[in-house]
Amino acid sequence: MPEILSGYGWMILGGLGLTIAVAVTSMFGAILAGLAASLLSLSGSVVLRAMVRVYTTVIRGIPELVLLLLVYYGIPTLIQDLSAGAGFPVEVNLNPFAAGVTTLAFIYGAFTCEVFRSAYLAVPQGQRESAAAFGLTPYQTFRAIIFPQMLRYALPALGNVWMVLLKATALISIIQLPELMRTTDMAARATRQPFTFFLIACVAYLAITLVSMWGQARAERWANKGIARSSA
Amino acid sequence: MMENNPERPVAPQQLSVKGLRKSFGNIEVLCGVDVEAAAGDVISVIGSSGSGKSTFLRCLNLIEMPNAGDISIAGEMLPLEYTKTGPRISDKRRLQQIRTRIAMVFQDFNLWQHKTIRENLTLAPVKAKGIDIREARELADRYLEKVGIAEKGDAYPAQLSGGQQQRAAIARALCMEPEMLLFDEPTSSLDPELVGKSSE
Amino acid sequence: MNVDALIEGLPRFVDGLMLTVMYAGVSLAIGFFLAIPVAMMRMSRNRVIYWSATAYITFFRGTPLLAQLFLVYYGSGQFYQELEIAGLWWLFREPWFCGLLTLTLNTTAYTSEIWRGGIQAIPHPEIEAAHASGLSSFSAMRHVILPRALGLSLARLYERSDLPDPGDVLGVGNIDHGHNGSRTEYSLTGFRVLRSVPVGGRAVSGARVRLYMDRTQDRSQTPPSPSSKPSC
Repeated sequence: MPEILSGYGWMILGGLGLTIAVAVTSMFGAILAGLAASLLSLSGSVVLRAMVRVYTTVIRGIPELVLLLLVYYGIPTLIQDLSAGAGFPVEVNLNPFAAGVTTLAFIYGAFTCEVFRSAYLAVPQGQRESAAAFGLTPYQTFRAIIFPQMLRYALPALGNVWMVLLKATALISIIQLPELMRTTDMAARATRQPFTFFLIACVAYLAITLVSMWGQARAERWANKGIARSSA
Repeated sequence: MMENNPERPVAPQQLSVKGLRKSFGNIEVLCGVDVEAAAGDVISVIGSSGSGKSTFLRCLNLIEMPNAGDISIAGEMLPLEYTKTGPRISDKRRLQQIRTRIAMVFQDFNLWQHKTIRENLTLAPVKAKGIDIREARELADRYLEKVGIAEKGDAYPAQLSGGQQQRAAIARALCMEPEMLLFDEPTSSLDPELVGKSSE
Repeated sequence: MNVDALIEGLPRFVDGLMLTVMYAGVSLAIGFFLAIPVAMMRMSRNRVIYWSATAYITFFRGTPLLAQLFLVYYGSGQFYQELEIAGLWWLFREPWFCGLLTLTLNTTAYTSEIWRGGIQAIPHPEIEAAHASGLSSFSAMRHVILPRALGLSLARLYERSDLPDPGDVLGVGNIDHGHNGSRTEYSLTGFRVLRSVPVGGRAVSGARVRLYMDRTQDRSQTPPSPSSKPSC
C-alpha cells in the first residue's frame, strides 16, 4: 500500500467493496421493482396504473437523502412510538445496509419503471402482431420478440440510472455504513488530510464510472445487433 | 369482390366467413362480409385504399377483433365469443394452434428486427409448431432459395431492400407450411418479374 | 406524529426551503451560461482544449456530488496557508461559498453536455444558412445556434434523471462533526433543512424546464431513441 494512505489503504479498499456491493444490490432491486411496476402500469387496470403513477411521480420529486433518512430514522421511530402508545414498547434498529439498499432500490425502481415502460411502448406494434399471427404465446412473444428489442431501447437509460445510483450510494455514509465515502471521511479526519483522501474517493468513483461506461458500450453494441450496421 | 376457381370440385369448405362486421368508432369498415373458399382456392380482394382489405384479412386470424360474425377454418370455428363488454377470445391456446395453420404476410412485413432472416424463418416453426431446429433451418434455406434471396439468410431485416424484405416475409409465411396464406398487398414491393413467380 | 414540534420548526423549514431554492436557482442560472463556453471547448479541434473540457466534465459527472462537496469544503482546509496567502481563505471557510461553488461547477458540467447535444442535433443546413445570410459567427451563435440548441435539448434535460440535487448540499452540514471548529454552526440549519426539501431539488429544476418545453415544443411523449447516447 502506498505511503500516502497512512495505513488506511485496506479500510478504504473495504469501503470501495462495500460501495460496489450496495450499488449492485440496489441496481438489481431497482430493475426488479421497475420491471414489476412497469408491467403493472401497462396492465389494463386503472387502479394499478394510477398507483404506479403516484409512486413514480412522488419518488422522482424527493431527494434521495430525505427518503434515506426517513427510512433509516423515521420508520424505527414510528414503530417505537406506535408500540409505546399501544403499551408494548419495542426497540427497533434497522441494519444500515438493508435500509440503504431498500431505499435506493425503491427510489431507482421509479426511474427504471419509466425506462422499461417507454422501452416497451417503443417496440413497434407490428412486431407483436406478427408474433401473435404466427401462433406464439404471449410469454413466447415477450421472451423472444419484445424483451430483446426492449433492451435496445432501455440500455442507454438503464446505464444512466446505474451511474446516478452509484453516485447516490455516497449518501449512505450518512447512516453510518462504512462504504467508500465514510471510510475516506474517517481517514481524512484521523490524518487531517481531507483533500488527499476525498480526492482518492473521487478517483475511486471515477474508476467505477469509467469501467461502467466501457461495459455499457459493449452491452449496447450487443443489443443493437441488426440495427447499428444499417443505420450507422 | 371474389373469384372462385371454377375447375375445382366441391370440397369441404376450407374457409367460411359469415356476417363479419367490424367498425372503428363510428366508422363501419366491414358490414357483414360472407366468404366461402375451398382448399386450393385463390381469392383476391380488390378495393381502393381504406376500403377495409387489410382489416378483413386481420380479422381472419383475430389480430383484429371483429364486432360480429363467425369464422371457421377447415370446419373449426375460431374461439371467439361476443360478450356485453365486447368481443373476446374464449380459448387462447386453441387460437394459437389455429394461427400456426394460417400464415400471414403483413403489409409492412413486420420482420423481427433483432433476428437474422434465417432466425425470422425458423422462430415460429420451432417455438409454435415444435419442429426440430435443424429441420426448420433446412426448410428456411429451401424457401429462401425459392423466393430468390438464398444468400441473405444471415442478414438482418434492416439490411435488406423493401422488395427483399417482402420476399423474406413471404418465405417466413411459407415456412409454417400453412393450410391457408393471408397476403396483405402481396406484390406491392416486388419487382414485376417476381410477381408472377410468387403467385404460385 | 408530534404536531407541536412541526409548528415550532416551521420557520426553520421555510428558511431551509428558501436556501434550497436559492442554491438550486443560483447554481443553475450561473451554470446555464458557464456551460456554453465549456460545450464549445468540448467540441474544439484543439486537443488541449478538448481534453481539459472533457476531463472537467468527466470528473464532475463521474463522482458523487457529496464527494465533490467534501473535497472542496473540507479539502480546502488542507491548503489553509496557501489560500490565506492567496487571499481566498475568507471565501473557502464559508459553507455557503463552498456549496455554491461546487454545485455550480457540477451543474455546469452536466449542462454543458446538454448544450453540446443540442448544438450537435441542429441540422447542418440551418447553420450554413445562418452564415450564408451574412451573420457574424457571434450573431449566428447568439441568434440561431443557441436558441435552436436550447429547444432541441431541453426536452432531454427534463427527461434526464441525473440532474444534480441541491438537497445533497445540505448534507454537508449534517455530517459536519466539527473537526474544524469554526464550521459547526452550519450543521444545525443543514440538518433541519433536510426535512423540508421534498418540494425542492428536482421538482424545482424540473418545473422550470417543463415551462420552457411546453412553450417550445411538445416532445413529452418521445420514447428514448435507441441511438441516444448515455450522458455519463
